[in-house]
Amino acid sequence: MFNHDTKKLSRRRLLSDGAAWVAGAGLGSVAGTACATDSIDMPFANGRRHMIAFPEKRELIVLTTRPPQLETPFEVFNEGLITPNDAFFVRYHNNGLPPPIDSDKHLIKIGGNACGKPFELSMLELKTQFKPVEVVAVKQCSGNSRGFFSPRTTGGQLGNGAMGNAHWLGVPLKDILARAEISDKARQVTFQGLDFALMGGGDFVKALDIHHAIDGEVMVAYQMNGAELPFLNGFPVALIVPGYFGTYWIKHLSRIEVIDHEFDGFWMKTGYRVPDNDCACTEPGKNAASTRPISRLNVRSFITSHKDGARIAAGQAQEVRGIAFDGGQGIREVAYSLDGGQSWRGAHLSEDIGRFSFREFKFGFTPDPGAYDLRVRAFNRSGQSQPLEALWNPSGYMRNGVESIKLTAV
Amino acid sequence: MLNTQSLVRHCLAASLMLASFMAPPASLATTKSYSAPADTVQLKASALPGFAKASVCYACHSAEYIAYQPPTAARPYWNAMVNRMKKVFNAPVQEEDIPEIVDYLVKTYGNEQPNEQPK
Repeated sequence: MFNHDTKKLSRRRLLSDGAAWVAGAGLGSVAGTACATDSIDMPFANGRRHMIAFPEKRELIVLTTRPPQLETPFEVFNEGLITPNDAFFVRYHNNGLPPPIDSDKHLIKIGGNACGKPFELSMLELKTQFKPVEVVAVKQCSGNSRGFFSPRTTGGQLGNGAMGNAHWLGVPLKDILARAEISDKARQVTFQGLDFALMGGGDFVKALDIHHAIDGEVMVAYQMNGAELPFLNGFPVALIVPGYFGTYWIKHLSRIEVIDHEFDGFWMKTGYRVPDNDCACTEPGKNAASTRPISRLNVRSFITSHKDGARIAAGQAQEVRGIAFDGGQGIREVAYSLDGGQSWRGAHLSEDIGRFSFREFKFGFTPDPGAYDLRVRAFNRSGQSQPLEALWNPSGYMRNGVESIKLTAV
Repeated sequence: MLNTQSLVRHCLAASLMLASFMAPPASLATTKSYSAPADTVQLKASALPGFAKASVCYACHSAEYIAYQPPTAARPYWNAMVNRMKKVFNAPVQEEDIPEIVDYLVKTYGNEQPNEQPK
């Protein structure tokens, strides 16, 4: 059985190791790596990771340095329902990161062949000419938890920390597009940010169907948790697609195009596709007969208060806490088991702060001496849930099996 | 060679400099910039001819993309990735270098490693 918790893993100071390693690599200067002295072992083969504080970020798990891909240490999810900006995960696709961005000069250009009236929008116009809206929504990377796939799948080998829940403030995309004189032929809307591919191929452009783009939920956000967005989360403005995987949440949003056809760029036509069937899964090791673009988050739940493998005190009441979320129906129920899934009871659900948000759950038990295998399984308001054993797909996306936390009461 | 204590001091000084640099509250900032920390992972040295040629990978990304793949990653995967880098991302890889680069990658990071012991 897999486990998700990284903190239980031996977290080691590697100051001396680090220095020796740098010397071994033959680098002339230690300055750039002087802080790269913490590491963490993810619970899968080849899972050693550095922990480094990037600009505006606390020490996070480094998946890649260039372009930056940073994962949130799992213990952050037990500190509150909102993921702090400096702990929020980071995922870029190309290493052409934008040059310094002056938000007063930043423009979003709206156009495309199904846009009757192309125009540009400054940040001042965005903030003053539209009625702002707010939403609390989970952003989760499509490949969150990929490292736990069995058999392993290639790609970014993430633990469970490529997700976060934030309070977003911005403007409905629908209101912006209302000025664009969209033609009847419009089929999709594409989105691009200031980040770019270094050699001119493979720019990160994503597309949403037109009916989704104007449904009122998709949003252009300029604040995250009451502050400007961190640079690495898309300063000064990002697309927010509540309920959808993070791949659509374009950072440094600078270009919106309404088009009369289905967009066929690499990141839609080849990347970020899942098996085109009900479970978005295949038999382990097998390819899909056909695929579709990844879309809505599936249901997930995690215990955050207890770490897999921990020892607890027999006879002492335990309060177990965790988070559950889905693609926007909202969580209706979280069931828990103390015996590896043989019997289930209902956990208490805390306050609902929005159907796109993490939802807190709690339950208690007083253990006798012995072994416990805690599992949690969430259900959303349309009855969708999590498979008892994780499903598989070739790209390692959408992992959402019931998690197991093994505890020993002594 | 720096000892442990001097590394700690160095790290602390760097953090403090960053803190004072970022002193104005984020809500007042109108300009933000980013510069990447130095790479902390390098490609593993090897006698295979593809090792030197694989340094072309650094042009667009750091080495973790390669180094953190699961040890089960097979030759077709590495071949597909190198070809994707060239064909989709215009990586400056010479066509004739691709077989040697793929050979180095699969034997150094994939399932053709000499003493591979998958967990």
